Amino acid sequence: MIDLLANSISVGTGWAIVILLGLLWVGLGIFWGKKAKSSEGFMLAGRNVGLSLGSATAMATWVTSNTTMLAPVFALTLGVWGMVAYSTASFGLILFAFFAIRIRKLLPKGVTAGDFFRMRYGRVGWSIFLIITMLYSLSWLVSMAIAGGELMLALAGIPYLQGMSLILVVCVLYTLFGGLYAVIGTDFIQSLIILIGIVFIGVMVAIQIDFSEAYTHISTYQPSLLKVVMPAALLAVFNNMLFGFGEVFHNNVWWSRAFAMRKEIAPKAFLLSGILWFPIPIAAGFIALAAGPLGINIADENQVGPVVASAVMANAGFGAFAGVLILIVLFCSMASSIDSLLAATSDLLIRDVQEGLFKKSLDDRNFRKIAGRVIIGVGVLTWILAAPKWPIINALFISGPLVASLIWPVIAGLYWSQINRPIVIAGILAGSILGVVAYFTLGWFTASLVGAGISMIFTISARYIRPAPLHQEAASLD
Amino acid sequence: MKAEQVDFTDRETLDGSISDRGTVTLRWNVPEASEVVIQQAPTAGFSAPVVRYQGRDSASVLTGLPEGSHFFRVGEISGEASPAWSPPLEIRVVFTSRTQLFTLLALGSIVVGATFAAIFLGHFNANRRENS
Repeated sequence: MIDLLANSISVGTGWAIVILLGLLWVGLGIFWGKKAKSSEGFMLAGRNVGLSLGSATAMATWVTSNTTMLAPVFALTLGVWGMVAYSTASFGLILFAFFAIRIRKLLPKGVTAGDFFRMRYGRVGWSIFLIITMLYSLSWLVSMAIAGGELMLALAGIPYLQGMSLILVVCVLYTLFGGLYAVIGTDFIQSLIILIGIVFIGVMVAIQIDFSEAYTHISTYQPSLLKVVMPAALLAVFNNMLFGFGEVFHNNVWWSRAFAMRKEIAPKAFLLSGILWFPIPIAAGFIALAAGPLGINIADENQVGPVVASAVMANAGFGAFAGVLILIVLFCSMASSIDSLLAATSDLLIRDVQEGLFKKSLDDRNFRKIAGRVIIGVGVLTWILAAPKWPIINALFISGPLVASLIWPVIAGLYWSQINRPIVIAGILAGSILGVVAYFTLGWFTASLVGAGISMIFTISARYIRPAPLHQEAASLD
Repeated sequence: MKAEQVDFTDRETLDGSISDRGTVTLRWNVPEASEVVIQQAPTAGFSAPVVRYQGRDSASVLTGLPEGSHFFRVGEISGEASPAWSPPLEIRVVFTSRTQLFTLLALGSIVVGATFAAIFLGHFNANRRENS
């Protein structure tokens, strides 16, 4: 079946598509970048992003290569509950709508998630946050660069290193020229392409499949996929939901968007993006579940989405267009996340490391120079880590309990007026360590649950055991 | 390559192994341009086999297997003759125990429920404080 993908489009067509898309994104990045005249314009798009751009950028960023590639794997291996489990990651975006209101009230001049952690949990808590978020962000970024290179190889026969380098260079260039303006603008177009592509492929599958025969086939040959009590799948629901909460609640990708959107727009945009995102893994999973009933052999579970999509479109007479559409959709889903992570991680490095750790403030002229260097630096580091094709995706999954252990500290920091900070910090550490232990001993589907649960117990205790008032952070940001 | 040489390449690691999610990836050493057939049966005697794959690929991911033992064998199709089958390969599917499952589900419900409750309560209390 890998051959089916490799033959779907020629190497020349593959190069032409990615170069044309790359030129389009870089051109738009330069165009939108002209608006970024100050550091605030570059990092936060002037704090003036509206509803359509705001919801599109949140949704597109959350549609990563993991959504388009891993959601079908969840459906193929865990069945109906697997699809539901993946979709619960949308609840993180929906709940962040409530956070956005509070964040804008508490931190009217905030720039990064680090600002919040520094003021709520001091330098120790902030340092732990930085280590966790950098580990998570970098492993997310590198895993997507690797996925990009592998897909270029599978779909268009472009050598791994060339494909991976190309997608990374394109994203670095337009983020470099346009900052968050370019990221949000391109995300809007990319989200439309992703939605149209997935709906189109889903319709193709629905036309070709006989639902009654499909049910009979699955209940005969893959009965566990339809079981109500499928343990790994049921546990994946809570685990994935809490992993998603941890990812969204702590990461600067989402905080920077909350700061960038107009105050009254941010909650609506996050709510809308969560609602729009919810059906995407179900649609992608539905495509994967059709593999058996349609007689499509899956030789590699990680390729199930593109393989089934390619096969059903070929059956419908689309020929090479199948590969073209799949390549465009997947390229957009990866670019929309890589650019956001590049921008958010660079902002964190500039704001929290340069200004927070080394106490070196930057004027607008020096800011663009340093920001450019940091974005290129993050891009180069990503390339170095992605080049050997190490299984970085495992690091991303292991980071689940780490980010999940930040869920309750974020909630407490936003809504509670007093807390025992050392206990909260101890909870983050205990949740992270025990969550990783659970990952290796009980199974991956328990890790985030254990991390979040342990941290929750510590955080609730911190509210009642010798709590101290939290600082009024807005004043200290001025 | 002769038909009897066709076999599962991961036999040593797979035979008798346990899957906790009912998934197994079978790989075999198919001679170039040859067609193989994969059969599955509930017993090593293959008295009631079903065909799970027939074609020229060299691997297949089988998912959704129910709890219990499953036996697989691979054979190369050559003309009218019956395939020369590989020895049976046993995969056991054992799901997480019900006690562990329901304990973890109860914990998951508590953590997720408490998280939702903390956010909603925090939101409404913050609004109430501001309005008063």
